[in-house]
Amino acid sequence: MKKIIFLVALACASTVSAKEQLLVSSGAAKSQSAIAIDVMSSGAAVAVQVTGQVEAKYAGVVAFGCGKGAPKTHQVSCAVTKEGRVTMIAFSGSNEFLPTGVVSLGTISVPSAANFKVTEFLASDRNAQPIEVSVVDDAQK
Amino acid sequence: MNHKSLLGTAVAAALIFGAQAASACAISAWSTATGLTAADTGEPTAGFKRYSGRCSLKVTDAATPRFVTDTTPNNEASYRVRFYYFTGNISGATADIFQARSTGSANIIRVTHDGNQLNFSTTSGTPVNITVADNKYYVIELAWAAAAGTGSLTGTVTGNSGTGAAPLQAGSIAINNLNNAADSITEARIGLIAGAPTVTAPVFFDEFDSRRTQNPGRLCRGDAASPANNVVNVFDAVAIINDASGNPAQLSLLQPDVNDDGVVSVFDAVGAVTIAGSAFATCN
Repeated sequence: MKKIIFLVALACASTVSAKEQLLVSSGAAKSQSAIAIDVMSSGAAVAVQVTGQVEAKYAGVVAFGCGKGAPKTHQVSCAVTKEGRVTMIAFSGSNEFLPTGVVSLGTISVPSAANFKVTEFLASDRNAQPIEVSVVDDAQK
Repeated sequence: MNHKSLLGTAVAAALIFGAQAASACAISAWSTATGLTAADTGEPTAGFKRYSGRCSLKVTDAATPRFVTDTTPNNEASYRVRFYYFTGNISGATADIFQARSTGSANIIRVTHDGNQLNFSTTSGTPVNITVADNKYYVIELAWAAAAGTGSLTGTVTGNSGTGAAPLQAGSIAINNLNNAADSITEARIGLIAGAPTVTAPVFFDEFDSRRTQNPGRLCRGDAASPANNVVNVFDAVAIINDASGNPAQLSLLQPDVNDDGVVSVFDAVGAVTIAGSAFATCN
């Protein structure tokens, strides 16, 4: 009985403090970086946005594996501006929740010298309100 | 100075009575109404095409003059105005959709729509035509000034922007070097004020804002999630999808109609995502 109560308490706690975690992992081959963008989803978000920055002179050579491995409930939009602002947005046309667990948004390929950095990670609940987030950026370690 | 909004009363009422309340749209912010009543305002759930907030003003026919009037301007020698106009489908005659008038009832600024073009004129100078499409929202921004030899009427028409990141400018107005120092403005009207075109699909007006010295500016296209922050991001896409659901409790209080077609749908969410990934993600 005590064990059941403990489990229920844990479940409630995880709902209240839902936190979406961005996982940024990079692999380098020669002078090119392939950066995987994943989200450890709590199941509370319906859409997420990752914003990053590369040096502007490399904006024209940024390549995406956009939505590679993403759930079918969501579409992923990837863009880079001429100023080097990189965005990946995953959303559902019916505001479906992202599935719980690791959700892949895709990959970004940039020259290592482009110095890609995540500048912002946003996660939205069904009411267009922010969910607490954190970022684990392997590329910055 | 004078700063009029079609929606001030409606928004306040929505906050008081909650989102489930019946439509609280009103025209009481206007000085007078001719041929129009509060029943000519409404929300998207009742088929009203709004650009921002919950309400807009609909004009369904031109059988008689139908317009609202703001009489708060006080012999102004400088006048800036912005309003959103949904073109509907009109034909057969030219209608005045905006007038700024003097105490002698002369049109100091006049905007007409013939179903294909908007025409902008003032008391002198060469009028300007700008082509617009049917059933699309356009924001009309005008700046007028009286002076001896340096008076002017300038402005832009922007809209029907689709889901591209950049707002599309349909045209601009530059009527300069006017000798109009004797002109002044004491009232403004919007609606189908004069002329009797056939109205196959109604026109709508939204977000009227007039000032003496500062341009009101355009509202941030796609900034749909409250509170307004003049930034378009993932929260706005979610708010747009909620608005498109048709649930009155989930209507956006801001600007969800990214593609200016008067209807909020998933296409607008896609447009917001496009804006979020562009240099237009932050509005000025």
